[in-house]
Formats: sequence, C-alpha cells, structure tokens
Amino acid sequence: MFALTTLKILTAGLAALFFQKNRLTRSWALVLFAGVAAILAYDFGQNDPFEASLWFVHWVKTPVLNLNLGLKTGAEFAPFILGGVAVLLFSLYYNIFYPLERNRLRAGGMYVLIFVLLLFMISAGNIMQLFLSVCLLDILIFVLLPELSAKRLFLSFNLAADVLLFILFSFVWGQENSLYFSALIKFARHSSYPLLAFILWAGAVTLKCGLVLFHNSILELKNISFVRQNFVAAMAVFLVGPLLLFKTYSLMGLVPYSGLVFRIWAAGSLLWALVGSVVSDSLKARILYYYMMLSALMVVLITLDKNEFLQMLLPLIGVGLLISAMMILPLVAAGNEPLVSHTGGFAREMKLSLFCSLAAFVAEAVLLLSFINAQNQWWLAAFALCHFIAFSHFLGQVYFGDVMADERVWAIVTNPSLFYFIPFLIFASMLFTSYEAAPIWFVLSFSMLLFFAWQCPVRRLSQSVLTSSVQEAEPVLTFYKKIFLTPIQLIGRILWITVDFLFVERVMVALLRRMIFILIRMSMFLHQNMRVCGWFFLLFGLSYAALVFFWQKGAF
Amino acid sequence: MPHIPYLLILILLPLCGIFFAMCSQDNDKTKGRNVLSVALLSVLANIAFIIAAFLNASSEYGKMQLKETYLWLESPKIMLSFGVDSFSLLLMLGVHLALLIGIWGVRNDYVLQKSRMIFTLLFLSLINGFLAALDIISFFIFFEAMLIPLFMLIGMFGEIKRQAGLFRFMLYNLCGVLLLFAAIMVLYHHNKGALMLNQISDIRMSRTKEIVVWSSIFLAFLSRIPIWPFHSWVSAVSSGIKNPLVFIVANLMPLSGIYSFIRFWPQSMPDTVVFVMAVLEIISVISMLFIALIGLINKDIQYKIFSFMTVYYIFFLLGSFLPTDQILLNVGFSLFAFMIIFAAIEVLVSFQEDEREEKNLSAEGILYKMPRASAVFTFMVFAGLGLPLSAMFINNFVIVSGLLVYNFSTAVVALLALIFVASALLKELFVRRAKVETVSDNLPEDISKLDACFMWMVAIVLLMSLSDPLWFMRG
Amino acid sequence: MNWFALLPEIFILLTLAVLVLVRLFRDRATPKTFYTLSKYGILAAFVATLVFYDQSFWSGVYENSLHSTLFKVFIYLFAAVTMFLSAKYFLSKDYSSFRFYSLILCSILFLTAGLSAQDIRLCAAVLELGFLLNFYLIRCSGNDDETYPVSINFMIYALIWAVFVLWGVWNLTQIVGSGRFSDIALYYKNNSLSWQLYFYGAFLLLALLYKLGVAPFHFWTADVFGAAILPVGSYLMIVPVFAYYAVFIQLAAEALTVPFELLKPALYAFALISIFIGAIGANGEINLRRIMAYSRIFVLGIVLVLLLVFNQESIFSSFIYLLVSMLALGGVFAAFYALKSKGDYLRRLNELSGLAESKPFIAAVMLIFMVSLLGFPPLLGFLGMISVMNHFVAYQDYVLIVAVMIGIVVLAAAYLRVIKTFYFDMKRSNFDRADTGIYFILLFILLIVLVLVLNPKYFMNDIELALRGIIA
Repeated sequence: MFALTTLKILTAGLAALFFQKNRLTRSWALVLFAGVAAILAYDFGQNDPFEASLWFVHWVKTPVLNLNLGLKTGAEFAPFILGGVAVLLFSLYYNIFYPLERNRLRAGGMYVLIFVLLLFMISAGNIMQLFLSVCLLDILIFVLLPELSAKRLFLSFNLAADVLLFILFSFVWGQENSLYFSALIKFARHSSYPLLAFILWAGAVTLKCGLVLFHNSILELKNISFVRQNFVAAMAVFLVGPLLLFKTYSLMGLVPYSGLVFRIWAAGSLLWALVGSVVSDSLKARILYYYMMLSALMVVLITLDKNEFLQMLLPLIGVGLLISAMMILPLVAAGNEPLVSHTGGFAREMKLSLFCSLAAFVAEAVLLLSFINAQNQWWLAAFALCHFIAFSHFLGQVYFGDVMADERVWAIVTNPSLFYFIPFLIFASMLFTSYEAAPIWFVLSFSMLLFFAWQCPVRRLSQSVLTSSVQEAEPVLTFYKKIFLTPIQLIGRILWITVDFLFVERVMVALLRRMIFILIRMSMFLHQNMRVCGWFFLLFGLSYAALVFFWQKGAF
Repeated sequence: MPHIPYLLILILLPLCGIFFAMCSQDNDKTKGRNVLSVALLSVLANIAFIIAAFLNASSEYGKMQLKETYLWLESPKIMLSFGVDSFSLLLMLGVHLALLIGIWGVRNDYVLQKSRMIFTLLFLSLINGFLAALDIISFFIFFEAMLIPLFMLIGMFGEIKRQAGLFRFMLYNLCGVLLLFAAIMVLYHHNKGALMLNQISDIRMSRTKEIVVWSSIFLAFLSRIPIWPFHSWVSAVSSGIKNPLVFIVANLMPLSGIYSFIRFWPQSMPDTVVFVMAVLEIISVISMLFIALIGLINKDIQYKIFSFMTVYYIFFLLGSFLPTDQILLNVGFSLFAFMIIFAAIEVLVSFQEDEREEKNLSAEGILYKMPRASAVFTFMVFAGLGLPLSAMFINNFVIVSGLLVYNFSTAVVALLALIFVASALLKELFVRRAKVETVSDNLPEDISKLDACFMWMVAIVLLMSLSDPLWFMRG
Repeated sequence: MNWFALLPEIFILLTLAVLVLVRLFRDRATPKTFYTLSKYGILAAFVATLVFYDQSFWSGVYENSLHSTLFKVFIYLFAAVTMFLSAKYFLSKDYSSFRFYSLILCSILFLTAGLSAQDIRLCAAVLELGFLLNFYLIRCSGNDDETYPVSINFMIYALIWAVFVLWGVWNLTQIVGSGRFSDIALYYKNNSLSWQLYFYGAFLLLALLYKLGVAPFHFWTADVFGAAILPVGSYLMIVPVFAYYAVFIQLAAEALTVPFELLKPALYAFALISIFIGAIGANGEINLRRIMAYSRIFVLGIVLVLLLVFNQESIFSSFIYLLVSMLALGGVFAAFYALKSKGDYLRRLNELSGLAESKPFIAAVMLIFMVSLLGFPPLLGFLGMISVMNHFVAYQDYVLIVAVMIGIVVLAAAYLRVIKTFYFDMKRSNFDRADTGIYFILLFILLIVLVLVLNPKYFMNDIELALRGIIA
C-alpha cells in the first residue's frame, strides 16, 4: 500500500517535470497540488498507512555484497512521513501563487521527487539505502537550486557530509560485515577507532543539520526565491538531518560524551542563530536563522529522548512552517523588499498580518511549552526565550518603529492576499485545538509579545560589533581555504619544485641525457674519419684477439 | 552448435575495420565521414560480439571461459591461449564504450581522420587481445604491441608541445616492456613450455631469481601507471594532449598496468616477494597523494582530469592488492563505469576548450551559456565523484571498506587523495558554471542536440549499471 | 667431376658473358635489358641450385649441401629483388647499369662459390676477390666526389685484410699440407696450438667479421652505405651477409673449430661492442642509410653472440634472428627507392619531413619494418627476438640480456626520431611519384612478413632441418 502511494506520487512528480507548460502555469501548479493532496488524503485516509509493511527489490548481488532496497513502514516513521507531507504540501501550495517563482511546474515536480526520496530514506531498512537516498537528495536539491552560489555552498557542505558518511559506513561494513542498522549497535561497542568514527558521524550530522560553523550551506539560500528556499531548508534542517541522527542513533554509544558534544554544539547554534536573527538585515536570512534554532532544538531533543522527539517532531515542523508563513507576509506585502531596514511601521497598513502573526506565535509558543518535562525543560525554555526575543525584535522592526521604507514600498504596503493566510490559519487552528492550555496563558503571552515588540529593547544589539558581516562570515570555508588548502597547495608546489623539477628533471633526467649525449659524441668522433679511425679499430680488434689467446694460454 | 571463436573475432574485427578504413575514400567532399562510419561500425560490431560473449559465459570472476588455443611456434613451443571471465569482458566493454565516446568526440575533426581511426582501431584490437590473453606469451605480445598505436596517436594528434617528453614517455614504457620480456622468458624457460597466467604463482625458483623476476614484472606494470617519481614523464604527455580521443587512448594505458597486476598477482605469494607488496603499496600511496596535490594546484583542466584519473587508477590498484579475490569483481565494475565517465568528461572538456580558443573566452563561466553541455557535464562530474549515478558508487564503497580493514593508514591516505582530486574537479565545475556576462556576439556555442542526446544515452548506460553492470546476464 | 653441381655458377657466368656482349654490340642497351638478362640468369641459377642441391663438383673441394643451398637460395632471392628495384633506379637516372649488373653477378658468383668451397684456399680466394670487387661497386655512378675517398679507404683496408687472409691461408696450408676443411680440422685437433696457428685461423674468422661489418671492424660500413648509390647500398646491406654468415659457421664447424673456441671471449666482446656501437651510432646520424648501417651492426652483434654457444639451437636462433632482421632491413631499403624529390634520391632525415602526408603507404611500411627491427610484436622481428631471449635465458647469460635490452632502448630512440620526422613534422618538400613496381615489392615483403608471423612453424621447421646438418 505504502509502496503504491509512493509510486503514484512519483508518477505525479515525473509528469510535472517532463510535461512542461509555458502558459497557465499557476493553474497547472494548482492541479499538481490538488493531485498530490488528493492522493495522499485518499491513501492515508483509506487504510492505516503506517501499518508495518515491507516491499523490497534485490539491488546488489555480488560475492561480497548482497543488498536489497525497500520501503519499510511502521508507526515509528509516521511523524517523519507526515512532516514531509506537511513540507511538501506547504511548498506546493505557495508554488501556486508566490509571484517570483518561475518554472512552477518544474519546481513542483522537483519538490515531489525530493519528497519521494525522503520516503525512500525514511523507510530505509539498511545503511546503504539510507546513504544512497542522502546522496540522491543532495543531487536533486542541487538541481532544484537556481543560483550558483547557493548550489556551490550547499553541495560543498553536503558532499563533505556524504564523504564522512561514506567513510563511516565503510568502517561499519568492513568491521561488522553487515549493513543492517543492528550492525551500528555492535560497531558502537566494538569499534577499533571509536573516536574517529564519532568524529565522522558527528561531523556528518552537524553538516546535514546546518548547525553553527556549517550553517552557511543553509544561509546562502537567502538569495533564492522564498518557496524553494523554504522547501530546501525545511527538508534539510527538519527532516534529512534529524532523520539521519535518528536512524543512526545507535552510534551514540561510540563515546560516552557523544550526547554532550551534540548538545554543546546545538547550544552554540542556538546562540548564533539568535544573534543572527537579530542583527541580520535580510528577512529571508532571519527565516533561516529560525530554522537553525529549530534544528538545534531537534538535535538536542533526539539526544535526550528519541521517542519523545518523535512525538514532538510534527509539531516542531508545524512551528517552523508557521514561522516562515508569518515572516513572509511583510516580504510579499512590500513587493519583495528583502531588507528589514527598509521596513518599519507596517502595523498601520497590515493590522491583519500583525494580529495573525501575534496569535500564531502565541499558539506555537504555548504548544512548545506544553511539551516541557523534567528532561528537556531547560532546553525548551532556552529555545522559547531565544524564539521570543528574535520574533519580538522582528515584529518590532517591521511593524512598529520608524518608517524606513521608501515611497515606492510604502505605496504598495498592504495585507497580502487571503491565500497567504490560509495555511497559516490551518496550522494555527490545528495547534489551538490540539493542545489545551489555560486561556490566561494565551492572554499573558500575547500581551508580553506585543509589549516587547513595540518597545523592541534588542534593537541596540543590531548596532553592536556583531554586525551582519560577522554573521555572514564563512568560518569553515575560510578555515578550509586559509588553514587547510593554502598549506596543502604550498606543500604541493614545494614538492613539485624540489622533487619533480629539481630532482627528477634536473638531476636524474639531465644526468641520463648527458651520458647518452657524451656516448653519441664519442661515437661520432670515432667514426668521422675512416682512414684514421680504421687503424684504431683494426689494431684494437687484432690486439684484443691476441690478448685473449695469450690470456687463455696462461701467459699472464 | 558450432564453436564461435568470439575472442579471435574481437581481435580481428577491428583489423578488418582498418582494412576498410584504408580503402575508404576520403576527400574534401566526404570530410572524413566514410572512415568515421567504418570506425564506428567496427566498434559497435565488437560491442555486439562482447555482449554475445557475455551471454555465452557465466558471471563468475576467475572462471576462464570461451577458451581458444592456437599453436604459434614449435621451437620453442609456444601456444597462444585466449580466454575471458566476466571481469575481463567487462573491461573490454568499458574500453569499447570509452573509445566509442572518443570517436564521437572527434567526428567533426576532419584533419587526418583516416590515420587517426586506423591507429585507434589498431589499439582497440591489441587491447582486446591483451584483455583476453591467457598465457604469458600472448599476454606479453599484446602488452608490448599496444605501444605502437599509442605513440603514433599521441605524436600525430596529441599536439604535444615538447616532443622530447613524448620520446621519454615511449622509452620509459619500452624499458618496462623489455623488463617484462626478460622476466617472462625466464618463467617460460623455467616451466619448460607454455605457462598460463594463473599458474605463475606456482613456479618456484631460487630466492634471488624470484626477487629479480617478480621485481621486473612489477616494475614493468608500474611503468604503465604514472607512479612517482616517474609520473612527470607520463603526466607531461598525458595532460598535454588536446585531442579527446587520443587523450582517452593515452589514459587507458594505466588500465593495462592494473589489469596486469590483477592477472599476475599470485594467489599464494612466495615469501621472498612479500616485501615487494609493501613497497608497491608505499609507492602507490605516495604517488596518489603527490599527483592529487599537484592536481589541486594546477590550473590546467587537462591536468586536473589526468590527476583525477591517475589517483583513481591507483586506488583501483590498491583495491586489487587486497588479499581477497572477491573484491576484484567490484574493482571491475568500478573500472567499467570509470572509463565511460572520464571519456565523456574529456570529450565535453575538449569541446569547451575548442570554443574557448576559437572565441578567445576564459574558462570562467563558459558553461553558463551552454545549458546542454552544462547539464551533462555536471552529471558526469557527479558520477565521477562517486555519487550514486554509476557503478562507482557502491563498488568504491566495497573497495574502501576492504582497504580500511586490511590497511588503515593506506586507506586514509588514499581517501585523502581522492578528496583532493574531487575538490579540484568540483572547483573547476563551479568556475565553469559561474554566471558571467559575455558580449552577445561572442557567445560560446552549445553542443548540438545530437551530441547532447548521445551523452544522455551514455548517462543512461551509467545509471543502468548503478547496481550491477552485469544486470543483463543475471536475467 | 660432376659438372651439374656447377650449373648455377655456369649459368651466372653465361649471363655475364651475354651481358658483356650486349654491352659491346647493342646500341640501345637500357637498364631494363641488363636487368632482364640478369634476372633470367639468376632464375636459372636458382633452379639449378634447388635441383642439384646435394651434388658435388669436386669432392672435398667444391660440394653442395643442404646448408649451402639454403643460403644460396636466400642470396638469389634477395639479389633478384635488389636487381628489380635497381632497374627502377637506373631507369630514372638514365645512365648505364651494365657495370652494376655485371659486378653484382660477379659478386654473386664469388659468394656462392665461397659457400660451396670446402677448401680453404678456394674459399679465401673467392671471398676476398668478391669483397675487393666492392671497390668498383662503390664507384658505380653517383657523386664521385663523395664515393671516391670512401672507395679508396675501403680498398686500403680490404687489401690489408686480403693480405692477412692470404698470408694466413698460405701458411696454414703449408703447415697442414692440405687446404681441405677436414684436414685442417684434424690437424688442429691433433696438434698443440701455437700462436701462429691460432692467428692463421683467427685471421680467416676475423676477416669474415670484417666483411660482415661487426665491430670493431665495422668502420667502413656506415661510410660505404652512406655514400654509395642506392642499388649498391641495398645489395651490400643484405646479400653478402648471408654468404659471410654461412661461411663463418662452416669454417667454425668444419675447419677452424679450435681457434674459434679460443677466439670466443674476443668474439663475445666484439659482439657486445657491436650492440652498443650499433645502437649509439644510429643516434648520431642524420643520414637514413647510415642509420640503417648502424642498425645492421647492432643486428650482427646479436647474431654473433648467439653463435658463440655453437650448438644446433644457437645456430638456429641466430639464423632466425638474422633472417627476420634482413627482411626488415631489406624492406626499409626497398622503401628508400620511393623516396625521391626532383629526381634525387633522398637520404637525409630533414629532407623527409612529413613523408606520411604525401606517401602514407611508404611511411607505414617503413614504420612496420623499423618496429620489426626492434623486435616488437606482433611483427616478424618478435620471432627473432624470442629466439634470442630464449637462448640467453637457456644459457643464463643475463649480462647479455641486459646489454641487448639497453641496446634496443637506445636504438629505439634513433628510430623514434625517424618516425617523428615522417609522421609528426610538417612536410617541407614534394616527393616524386614512385614506380608501381616498388609498391609491389613492398607489398610482397609485407605479405611475407604477415604470413610468416601468423604461421611461422612450417617455415621454421624447414630451416631447422636445413641447418641441422651443419652441426651433425
């Protein structure tokens, strides 16, 4: 059943990709959205889609390696699948009417294909299928991204992660001779190089999740259109990264401090994202910083209790999508004005947007707080605080404060069309109705948020030393270029000069060439005058013949 | 059913192609199309025969099939034996596909097309014989004979700037060949007659003799691979070749070194020779690292491709050194995909470089206005990096696993070198895809739709071989 | 006396006589006339040789055997091809070829007589006369400024050697009391060897080495082949080698066994020197014919070193190697007949730049033959090289293996220069049309090479049989 659903969605995606339309693109995008939504609703609504099932095909059958590829479902995968569905439908929906999207049908088809690959990854029954799907996801996302700098950064970081995974899984297979997930448990216990394996694994996960130091792969997406940016970031940060960590959770046993390392890294990411979301001038970059905060939270939650994480995953994804839905409103309203510093005072013209943003934030804040328990309380509280500060600052800058927009922008500022509010309303209402909390909490948090947004005390931070240039710095790439690549290039050049050029060419080859040259000159000299040299050769030959005779006869 | 001498046909068919190529009429009107058609038909016919041979053979590694034996000399008694297993057939198929891509890449180059096709077909015939050789004499015959068409192709069409480099390259290979000749004659004589490749390890000689013979054999094979410190002679020639077909032919030569190692590598290593393996491994990893580093600093794309290929060849060589035959089939699968990928990359790069030179453009952003070339070039580079677009993906995984288990430090260095060459190639890809505005009347011309179709068909072949290039044998 | 045994020689003499008559009495005697007459004479001699292959004219003095027949056959065949090609040369030059053809016939007569001679006096006399005759051959037409000093130098050393030989023969026959090979061999076997006896025998053997052009007695070869006209060069390059080689074996086996044994260390050294001088000398030349002359020295060095073991297998190996090398050299020289520009036959490398562009077939055959000379498979030269290597390995002569390998690499450097000039350099001059006959000859030699390389066993069996008798 699940396999059939996957096949149907795949067909829809391929059809969208290969049957390009240049006219009525929004209508076709609507058809795609409706079709995919209908398939999912029908199939998931009819039967229990997460009933344990297995469909597989023999993939590799060699003397050394025997592998199957399959689609294995179960209840534990439901949050990831539903999360993926949410991201997909969200993106397909916005793909219909977001003004700056070109090639809507092609982009929609890519979203669907990437979603299918995600299903492939979720249902992986062995490490190789997991790795295969991660690599294929990287390729498809690369194809999806339109801008070269975004492609470059995304691919560089993700390929680096793939390399680390490749080495890690080679280790696992080489040692355990098995590619099932159960091998990871044994590997974690008996690995010959546990620290190295942990470094490989942690590096790969943090790269995929876009945590600090490696966040630029996600941050660079700010230069592309909102829908694609949102889809890619959500896929990478909410789904692929955490899923990878989730599936390979057994490797936590490699070193005793593995959880601590991830949490410290996540904490650093949270702080970095907070500062970034405050000082960054780009609206789209702020959305990505929020995603980074969520990613950090997810990593922490997995390391604390992976089963509890599963329960929180879908709400967290909902939160993320909601944030982007809220933050895109001023962007669209101002005619795609991407800089926050060119906004301000939008509350006058966009009261509905402000109200909906406030309400939605309150709803998801209360939702988050409802998941607090003894284990995760500090982390959730910290996240909530960071989220609160960043969002209130955003609201303050955009909706309140001085008007910084120019006349052109100010002339067109108005609430976006109702279509932009529909998904946001759906999410918010689901959140409101699913989780019960005392009304007083809603009122209190609403009021607090409004106050802080209006006062915007964090505004001064954006004038501090932690400016955008610091935020947009690429420490990893800088490290790679200056500390890693430059010395290697220097070593390469030195080796080339000393070994290749000096030793091989100038010494060895020159010596050989000189020797041959001398011999040739000698030969030419000896053969230049037959009359003179002939005597030399003749006498030499006869003398040698005589010498040989006398030597054999024992004369010497 | 009458016995069909597949292997003899595979060797003779290109020679028949040479005959037809020599007879074909080529002038200003036909512009080399006749001889090109002959060459393409010969290669395609050979491919058909290879597939037929596959269908008549089993897919096991090491089980020699379709054997043919011919008495050549009576005194000394020399029988030429040929036979193949799935490994050698796969390599043959890979070579054919690589050359097919190369021939396609030069189809619009009319100058001296006849000579080029004749020598290419000669090379194809000889490499088929080499891959099918079962006894040491026939192995040697084809091992040495390959040098002639190689030299002629590089000299005539390679546009090598320094002829002295080419001479040195040839003489270096010739030294290797002669070492092998001496060693083979010693083995032949010791065995007092015909000796099959898989029987070599059973020969027992005195310690000194064993060391000298095995060292000579391995040195001869190493001379085919750009191994440090002699890599500069090979690299100066290989990376200096502009013609894509000749570049492909020149860079197929290391395959002969690797294949030789695989066939000669003794099942049971004589004790006296165990240390040779350690030396070989050390030289291999030093070479990998060295060449990878130079590839990283070198700005010339041809050198980058050469370093990419060399590092991968040595990687496969390390894989074949592992003390298990089971992995060799995986090495073969990877090699198959690898040959096709680098051939396609070379043809596409050559096209870009021709456009650059013609229109005086820089490499930066050249692919920006060539969407068809850009798409297929990106695919090939990704496949070459080992992403799951070809058989290299899963099979490189197996090889790396083996290396990590048997020799951790070697594996680390090898991986480092692979990462370096991958970085270099990836960087070049991004430079060429950069968005650069050019004057509208000086835009580079994209590859034709036919060329793009051909390249995508190659891509489909690679994708079909993703799990197992021998899928068509397994029913 | 069985005159039938002398029929081949009689036929040649008759042909000579006819040639002289035609020269004297016919006004319009073209090169084709002399060639046609010579051709029939050679053909008749060839047939007669085959028919009366085992007949003796004078027992103990002049006998035909399987051994002498084999070599005579090769001499006639190669001579016939040389004559055919020479006719093309003289036709294009439009001057008299009488001198050339008559001298060639005389030379063949002396060579074949030397092959059948079983008496040392007869053998020495005919061979020395035949060699001295080359003085006139070298002076045949051509540029007298170039050929005159070369011919004089040639004559000087040839006379010196002739004196050595005749002095040696005279004294030896005086001591032994007979000139027959068997008597001489018996004498050497039963008596202690004084230095005089040694030298009398050694001079004969060393003289043959001189005639072959083996180092250190090679100094005349490059000058002569470089200066003489093409027909003379192609004849001297190939034809006499078979005769001197065969006589050397015959003398070493049947007459001068003891001096030969003592001389072996020196011959070993000479062979090694030949290998090196041949390889290195070729690299220092820009004249194609001189390059081939050095190649011949290289080949003969290897042939000599193979002979030293002097058993059935080694003689067989040496002959196979010699034969395939001579075929290749013959092919190269045949191709030289096609290398003409503005009526002049080209010899310098720089004049032949870009040959492959205008004469692809000629360039291709030269490539094939040069590669064959290096012993590259799958060409015929590889057959020879296998015999050589097999022999060295069998006798564990690893020093020679190394020497030959180094020699091949160095010689290959010289050939690569030539190939590069033909194929990789730009065309500088236009080449004249070559006669169709030259293409036929080249094709014929190529076919022989191809057929032999594909199926050598029958051909080698026959040769082995013929050579077997010599050591028996």
